Amino acid sequence: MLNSNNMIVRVKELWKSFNGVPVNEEVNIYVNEGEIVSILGPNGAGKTTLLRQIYGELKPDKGEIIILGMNPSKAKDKGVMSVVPQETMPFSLLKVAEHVELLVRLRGVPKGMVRHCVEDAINTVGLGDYGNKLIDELSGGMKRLVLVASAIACRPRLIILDEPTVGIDAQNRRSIWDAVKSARDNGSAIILTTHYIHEAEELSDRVYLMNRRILMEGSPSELRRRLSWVEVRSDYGDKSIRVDWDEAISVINELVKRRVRFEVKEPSLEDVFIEVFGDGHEAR
Amino acid sequence: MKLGNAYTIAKYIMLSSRHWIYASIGLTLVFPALWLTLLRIIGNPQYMNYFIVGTVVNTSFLIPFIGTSQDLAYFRRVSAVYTLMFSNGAGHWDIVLGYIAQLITLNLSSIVSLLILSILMMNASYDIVQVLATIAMAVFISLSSALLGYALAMGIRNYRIVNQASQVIPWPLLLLAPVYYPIAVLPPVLRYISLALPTTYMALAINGSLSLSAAELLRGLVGLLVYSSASILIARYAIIRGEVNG
Repeated sequence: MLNSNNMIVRVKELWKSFNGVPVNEEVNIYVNEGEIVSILGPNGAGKTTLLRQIYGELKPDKGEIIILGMNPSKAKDKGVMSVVPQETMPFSLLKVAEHVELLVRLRGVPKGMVRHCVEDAINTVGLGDYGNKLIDELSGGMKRLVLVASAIACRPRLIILDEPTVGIDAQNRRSIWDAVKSARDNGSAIILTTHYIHEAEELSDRVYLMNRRILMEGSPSELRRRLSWVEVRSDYGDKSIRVDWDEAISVINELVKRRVRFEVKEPSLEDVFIEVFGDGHEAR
Repeated sequence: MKLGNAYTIAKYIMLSSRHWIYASIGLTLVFPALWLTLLRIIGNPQYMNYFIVGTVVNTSFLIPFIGTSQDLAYFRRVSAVYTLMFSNGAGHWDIVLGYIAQLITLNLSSIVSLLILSILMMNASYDIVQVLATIAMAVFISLSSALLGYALAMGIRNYRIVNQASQVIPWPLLLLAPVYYPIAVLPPVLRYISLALPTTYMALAINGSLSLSAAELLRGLVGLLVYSSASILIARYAIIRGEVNG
């Protein structure tokens, strides 16, 4: 729910185009304190462009971005946000603790707090034993963990994660999820983009579906409920059928009468995604 | 611009350079010692001044120019470390100043070493004022060259082009300017061309500081100021263009 008391980010009527081609059209989003908000959309939907405007790397053509009452440039100067940009690599010739320290210090965290924050963040992502290890010697998944540790260190008010788990194994992904949830529980607002719909479903308090413009918004369960069907899988006839909620009871009654084994599955967020964007997964 | 951020960036980039210690020792001590020894064997002391001017210009121009253009283009276009630092609180000029500060710190030792070794090995008669003036000029040349490199890194989006251009550009700049030899040996046409090259003013500044010639020093400084200002303007334009066009 839009709540101005604990709102961290507000994006109003945002437009952005490159060489006359619109990338963001009339985008309106908000993120509250202690909330994980995912932005989902096909490749080329303008998610990263939106985030780049939020962290001040791009200037919007039209519209407004307010972060804790400040414009992005001012908010960045005040050190209220931390970011893991898309496809970024850490400084591979620094040690893990040094890398986290570097970004924490750029955010202006007082020197006295840095050491404790860094240790805490490294432990949270499960790299406690690797603080003095060169990043270059770590696996790809662990390098992503270093970036996430750098982002959550010292509890910034806003954390922006642009595809933080891309290309990493299930175990490291789980560590990143735990770290993100822990940051949320400590009061940070988190904006996440991901192509793993299951990840968004697992982590998000709210989800925006976008393709240049925002097409749908709500909690994962609210979005799932917008699909009016359930999937019934059984040993009888068509193995899997989708039926409207209204018809589900009669279908189930029929299956019970026939003493057929069956299961009922609610739509997933992925079903919503495919319903909205089709299964081509490219922006149109 | 926040000087604290520039200091932090310089410090951590220096920490990440610790693995290049052998190359640093080679550049700082082995390279100047080797060349001075060769110069002594060849036995042409008249050439020593040109050699020192040329080597100080070469070191304070080439490494900052190539290093800044290639590293910052790589940070910005490939590893996205530039965006990582920018999005986490550093401004564009914090990043470039931090990078240049660490580069000058690491590079300066080889210039100091060259001047000291010249005095020790070749009996060059430089007093403390000449040495300090030359070091100050070398810092200014490094800053100016690094700004040229930054303008190249920011102005061209294709990292591979920056990489190649940064290796090609310095050679005509060093060969067509009176860096390693007096301007009198250049053909008349090249003398006019050399007036448009930043390396000419770098050589003037170093020659002026080693010979304590105020007029030469001033001409060199003015030329470098013009090039530095142009680099800052180009980089600033590229930054603004990047904010609009991505």
